Amino acid sequence: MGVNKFLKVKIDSTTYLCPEENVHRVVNFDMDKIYESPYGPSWLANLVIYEKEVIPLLNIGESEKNFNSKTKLAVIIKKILFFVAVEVDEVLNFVEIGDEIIETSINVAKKFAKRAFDYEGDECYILDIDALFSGKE
Amino acid sequence: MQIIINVSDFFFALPVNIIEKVVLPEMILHNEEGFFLNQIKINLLNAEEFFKIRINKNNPKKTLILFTLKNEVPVAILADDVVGFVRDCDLTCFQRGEFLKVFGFEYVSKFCSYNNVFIFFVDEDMVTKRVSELLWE
Repeated sequence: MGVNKFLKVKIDSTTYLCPEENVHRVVNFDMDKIYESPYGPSWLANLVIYEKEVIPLLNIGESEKNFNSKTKLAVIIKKILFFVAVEVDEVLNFVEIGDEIIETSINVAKKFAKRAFDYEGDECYILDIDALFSGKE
Repeated sequence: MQIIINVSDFFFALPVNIIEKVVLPEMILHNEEGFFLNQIKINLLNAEEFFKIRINKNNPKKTLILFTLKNEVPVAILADDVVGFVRDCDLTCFQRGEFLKVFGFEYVSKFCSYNNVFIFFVDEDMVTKRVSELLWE
């Protein structure tokens, strides 16, 4: 049986797991370096510059985050050569989860997550990386 | 050289060579046959519609920008304001990642940061393409 490594993050009160191979970096963006986006769905409210590229800063939670904060915490997700930033409330830790637990996952109707499972008493949603890059929740 | 226009507090850069003139909206005559500028019929659009941006503040538009396009009925857009002019070489530019098209950025050819403001560049081909789409809609 294999082991899968994920970065565990909190978005609103939901625990999301981001596959380790797609985690590029955790970044705090200053609010004055965050630009409003004229395009895209409501959860693509902002753009940021990351490594000389303009990338979307996605708010996939239900609420506006860090409204009074001077920064926004985000996880930079990488897929091939592309990046997106996802706003998060909290970055927890890396976790290793065996295939036998992943196999217990069920299909869910959750924004940017196709599957969820119970892990150490916590309901965990696996972030759908393809959905983040296709713009389809 | 680019002309920078303000549309719902977003800043778009258009190449000056495709701009016929910039006039006040009061110069437009409107009757049951359509919109006319100096007795020439024009296709008049709100800039939000032209750029397909998602926000429409419904402000009274202050400026009319008339495009010169070969073999077409003249197209004009109503924008909030003309902010100024800029040369590409004066700006720090960021290229658009191809995947941003899926988020609606298909008409933006590049992005520039200038005095903590983001400028969305729309090149001549994109303007021509958008005009064709609107005339065929």
